[in-house]
Amino acid sequence: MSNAIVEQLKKHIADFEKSVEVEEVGTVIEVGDGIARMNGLNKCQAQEMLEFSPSAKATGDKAGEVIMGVALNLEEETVGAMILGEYKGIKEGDTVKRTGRILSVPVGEQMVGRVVNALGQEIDGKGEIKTKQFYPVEKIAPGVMKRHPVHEPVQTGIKSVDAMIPIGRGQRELIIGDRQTGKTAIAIDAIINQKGQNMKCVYVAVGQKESKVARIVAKLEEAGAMEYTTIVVAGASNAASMSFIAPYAGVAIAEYFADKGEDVLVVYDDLTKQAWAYREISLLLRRPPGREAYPGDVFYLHSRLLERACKLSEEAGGGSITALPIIETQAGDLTAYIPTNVISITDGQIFLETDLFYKGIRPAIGIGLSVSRVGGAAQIKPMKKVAGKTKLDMAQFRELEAFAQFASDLDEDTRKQIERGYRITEIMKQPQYSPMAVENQVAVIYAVNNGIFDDVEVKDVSATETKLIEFMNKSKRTLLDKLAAGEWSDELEKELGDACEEFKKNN
Amino acid sequence: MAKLTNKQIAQALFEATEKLSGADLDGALQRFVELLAKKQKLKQVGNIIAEFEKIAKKKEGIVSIEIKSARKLNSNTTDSIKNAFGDKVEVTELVDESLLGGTSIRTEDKILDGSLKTQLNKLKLKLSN
Repeated sequence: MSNAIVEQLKKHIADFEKSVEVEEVGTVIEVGDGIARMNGLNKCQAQEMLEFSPSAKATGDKAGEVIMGVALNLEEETVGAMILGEYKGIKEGDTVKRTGRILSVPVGEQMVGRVVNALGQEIDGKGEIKTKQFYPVEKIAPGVMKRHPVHEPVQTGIKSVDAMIPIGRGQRELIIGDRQTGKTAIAIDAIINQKGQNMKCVYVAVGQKESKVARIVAKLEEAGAMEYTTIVVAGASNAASMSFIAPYAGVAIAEYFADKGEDVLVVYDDLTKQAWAYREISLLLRRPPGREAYPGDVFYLHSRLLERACKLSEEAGGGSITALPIIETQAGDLTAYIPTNVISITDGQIFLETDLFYKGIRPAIGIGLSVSRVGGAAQIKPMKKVAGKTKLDMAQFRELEAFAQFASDLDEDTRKQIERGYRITEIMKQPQYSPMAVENQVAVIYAVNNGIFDDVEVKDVSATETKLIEFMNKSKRTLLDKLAAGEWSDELEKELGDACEEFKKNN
Repeated sequence: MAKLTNKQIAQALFEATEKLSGADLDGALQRFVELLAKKQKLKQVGNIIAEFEKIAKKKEGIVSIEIKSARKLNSNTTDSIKNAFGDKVEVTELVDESLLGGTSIRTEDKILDGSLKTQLNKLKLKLSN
């Protein structure tokens, strides 16, 4: 056996052809803050990887280590590149080699459950990730013929989202709001709820504090969500180039699974910081600044990323990539440059409001400004029937709420509507990390819409809700299973109504 | 107006001084230095001279190459390498022991790498895949 191996090795070595390597090179003429400018490199392509070989002296003990860069600006005489990683070792006069390769990241099953950096290298200390395949970081999104309209739901497990702003597999739903309004919480809850839903998840942390990322990883591990999740991290201390690339690396990892016909949920947390990183790089490369000092192609930065979210047709394998980009606003200003851009790209947004958050309505979803443009088609039938009008009712309630203080002067109908509104609001509240199964959601929303909670004090609504779910799961399991399977008929509705009445009588 | 690059300045200097000699050349150079001072380009003078050299060499058809080898090469080898690149070749020789053996030749924008170090690295890559 070992002899055969030796023979094989010998053969390999004998076969090894000595050839002279011809490499196209350039010289660094300027380095600064994560970018470098070079001359030479005549045939360099856009987005090509470049290899910097800083002299051993400059890098200290890490002699001979190469640093990669990506060519972004191809000018008449010079090439401008961003440096991936530590740029301090590179100095004027260093040699730069072309590699002829476009930046790519390792993809495969092995990535699941791992924490990687923007280049797909492990950073969780669980050992090297050995994959067979690499996917380019930049790729053109699937065209019209390869796509299928969104028709299956993503169950986020969050009542207010699943009922009023439903998300479909292959949709792009923006989560937008000020700092500290629970944007990440919604995304993490959605990931946790994907357990057993036949979904892979990719969480991309861009410019986040490492402590926050560590907390999220711990939480996902605790919830058993790391079994189907990959986390891509470009931390706040990493170079701007890493923050710029991380979302693309994340979607490349997702594309591998989508190409295999699987469904993937990608969270970009958050794209504001990616836009900042891109602005930094662009300004350093002396591209002309535009509005808010962002470069002219900042729209394309996000549109080409989010366009890669898709529902593939049966012929193309039927996989899907659902994107949940996150954008942070300043003082609720939706009309800033980046928010308007991303709102116009995505298929809807979940708008989180500070006021609601401090009123204790969590998740603090502002119903009036939140929409889902395609998700309705993806809701399961019972949910669609039960929650169809809830969003409108809620929006009207928020309008009427202002009059609530004159309650005595209001007519009976309006007062009832307001009372119902308080209870729906209460039902829609949900603590973090406790996603709810879709059949339970249907039961609860049906109950509140049909007056089961009308006699319950507002402060007792959530306790009663818990009891209702307990009751349903104990004695009406078959009914819930039917609802979970997406069945809906008049008989089923009656059965659900009777079950709710039975619960009401007993409490 | 766009800023002048060192290359443009060198090109202009080359064209202006190509046909001059003696006192005219001195005068032209003096005016050139004054111009640089006015444009605040005196700091760039080293780079401008480098660019100028490049332009002049190109004009005269001189190719400059840099030969790196593990040990000092004998003159026969150097000559045969020189001949491979044409008649007017300017050679800089460097000794770099980390190459282990063979040579690596750098022209203006290419490296022809025939060093033992690179070959071994390639073999390592091939065997490990």
